[in-house]
Amino acid sequence: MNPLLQLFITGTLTTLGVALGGLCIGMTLGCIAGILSCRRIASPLVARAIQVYVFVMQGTPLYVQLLLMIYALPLLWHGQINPLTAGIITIGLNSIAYVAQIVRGGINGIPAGQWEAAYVLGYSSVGTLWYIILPQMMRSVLPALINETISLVKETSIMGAVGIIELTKVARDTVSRTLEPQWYLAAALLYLAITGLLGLIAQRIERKFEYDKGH
Amino acid sequence: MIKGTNISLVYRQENSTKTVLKEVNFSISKQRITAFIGRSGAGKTSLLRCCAHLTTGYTGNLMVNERPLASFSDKERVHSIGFVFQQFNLFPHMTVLENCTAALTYENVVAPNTIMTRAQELLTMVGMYTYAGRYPHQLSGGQQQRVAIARALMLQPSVLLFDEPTSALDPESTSMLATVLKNLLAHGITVAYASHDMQFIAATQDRIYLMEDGKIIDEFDREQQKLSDAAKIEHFLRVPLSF
Repeated sequence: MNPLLQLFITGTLTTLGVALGGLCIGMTLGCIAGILSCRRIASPLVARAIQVYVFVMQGTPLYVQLLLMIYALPLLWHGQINPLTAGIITIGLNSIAYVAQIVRGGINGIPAGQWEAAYVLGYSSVGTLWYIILPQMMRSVLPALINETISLVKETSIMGAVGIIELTKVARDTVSRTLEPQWYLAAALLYLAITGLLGLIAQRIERKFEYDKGH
Repeated sequence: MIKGTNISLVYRQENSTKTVLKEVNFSISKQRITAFIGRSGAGKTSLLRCCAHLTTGYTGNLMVNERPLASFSDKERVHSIGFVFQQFNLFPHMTVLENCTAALTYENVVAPNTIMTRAQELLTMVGMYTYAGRYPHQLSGGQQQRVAIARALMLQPSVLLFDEPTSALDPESTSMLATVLKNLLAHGITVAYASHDMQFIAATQDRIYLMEDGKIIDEFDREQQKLSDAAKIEHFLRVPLSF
């Protein structure tokens, strides 16, 4: 196989890996944080802690967070952290803040009457959340979550700055070697293919939640 | 059935308090229709919400079948008292049939085919079986309300409470609701509602409590004739009460 092509495939797979890892962390913990900070459930202390976390993560650049994760955090245990692991964790931690905001807003947007209807029908708080609130919330927050996923894929492009061989870094290194800037275009097209595919998958998922259209 | 003695309720906000119920005494008798009437803000909805345990923090004694409501487990409560909301609050992501079967399916005690049979029977009773596969947004206000009634009846409560049952209905649906309420009585279900729809109240009640400013200021009972002189109720309804 052409070594250049192989490099680009490796770069794309790394980009996908970092994005997927970050997405798993961001979506899982972000949903939990969003639920714990919504009006109906939040305890003041937990809600405040999540608010501070969101403020810090949204108020600092992802690149600075990445540098802190790689160079400052390991000082706590006088060790080192693998850049790829650091990249995945950083992008995941960053994503938590955005997903939490989206989920919190989605849950708060469900009318109080839905919680009350579930209560008079005997649902527990967890049951209400799982069977009544979250399915309705998903429909309203799905577009925002899809945007967050696409942003997250694009944000992986800064990982190259700390030595992770992802797609942008592969393109940059290739241009340095060949002096042919069209390799940036190749990278852009590959990003487009990934985000376009995500968009298609998202449309399919979105259709599943459209209970109020097309019947 | 449900008996309230000296029920008071105070809403506390940051810098103020509002007394919405002031030592209210009432009784919702078995297999009869009890109407709580009065202007907006009189405390009718708050009283019904206390009866359904949707609002807690009241003082006084609220007994259901001679047991304090507060001592009921969640399961006992939902199988004793059903509630139909002013805006119906159907679950928009579920079909009519799913709305009806959801609570019992969640409870996981009754066999699935029994749940399905019960849902079919109740939807037929309220005339909504042909709409079983539709979603709430595809139904009119009156249809949504009938689904909400069927959904509440799935848990076989002995009393069904309605908050402002006619506020979202057209005249045709209102007269259909009156028929449904009488049908519920025939099935042994006690009914109580809060309303300020004078025509509906005049057509469907066995007992009326007139509320004003968080207090019951007059009451009327069709069987026991007038408990008080009921003049205030007649004035509110603008029609003479029939016996």
